[in-house]
Amino acid sequence: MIVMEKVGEIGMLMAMGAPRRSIMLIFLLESGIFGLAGVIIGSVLGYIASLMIASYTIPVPPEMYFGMDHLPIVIVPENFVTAGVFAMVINLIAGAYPARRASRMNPVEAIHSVR
Amino acid sequence: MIIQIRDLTKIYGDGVEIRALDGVDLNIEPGEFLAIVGPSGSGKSTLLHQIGILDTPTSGTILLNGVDITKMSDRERSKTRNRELGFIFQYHHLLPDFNALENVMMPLLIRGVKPSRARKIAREMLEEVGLADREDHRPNQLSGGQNQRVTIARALANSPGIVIGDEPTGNLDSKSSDNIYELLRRLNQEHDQTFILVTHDESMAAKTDRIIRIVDGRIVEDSRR
Repeated sequence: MIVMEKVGEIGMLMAMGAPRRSIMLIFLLESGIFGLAGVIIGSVLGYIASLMIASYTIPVPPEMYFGMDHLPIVIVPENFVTAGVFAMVINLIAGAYPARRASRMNPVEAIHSVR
Repeated sequence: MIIQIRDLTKIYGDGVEIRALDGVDLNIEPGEFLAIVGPSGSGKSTLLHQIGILDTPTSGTILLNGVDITKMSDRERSKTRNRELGFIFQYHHLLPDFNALENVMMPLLIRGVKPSRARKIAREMLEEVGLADREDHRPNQLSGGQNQRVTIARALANSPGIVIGDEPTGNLDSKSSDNIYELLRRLNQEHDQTFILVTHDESMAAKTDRIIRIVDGRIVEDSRR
């Protein structure tokens, strides 16, 4: 976890007078930026993968699929939005705890934890 | 009087009680250059952390420019640290992702100074510590002594009234240590800021104007040259 690698730096930021709120914000922003990058990269890769799969005709047994003889591939933009929003929410929840932890550190302990 | 400490006590631990500071009284005048010495575990660092508003005492008061910092809110404490105090620790604690100039700009940016102005002040500070030609170097591209100079430039960037050094040369060889000491001394004289150094280097302490010796959380010696 990035917060644990940065303990000394967090302590020094506190010593320099960075308010606890700013320290929380730094880590929330960081996880938000990574999360957003992940969503964008994931969406692009997902779209490419969908196109590639759609370029093949994948046969399925018609008697099991109500008369369809191949797998239907439909790219629905809403699915990307839903998955992206869901990923960002998970990201925010996962980022909030370490960010809060960073902002609540004792500056003395943080500074002296280094080396 | 820039610092007035009255009956300061700090007790650590639940169960086994450790009195890190035991009724310390201390007055410090503006512009003093003093050393706090003592064996490890004597409470000298604890005292420094109290003066630096990095920690809260169990009881007692610390007046900084007449204001009791022990009664401040967390936000006021941060603001006071930013404006009134500069810190130099044993390890440089520079931000590794930023270059020397950006590191020196940091306390100014935290204060809310415009980046263009912060850059200008940071340049002047780096020049003052003799590193004008290293401003775009990152900490891992600089030597230990150079990094400690950047740290000093950073500590002085906001023109704080008090500069605190916790074993500022503890991680350096003796030649670099002497250079850093000379630099601190010169800055103290030029800027008339108060310098408080914690050290276990007796030869360095002997060169300061005032030695405060702490043993078991009490001041046992307060001598001026």
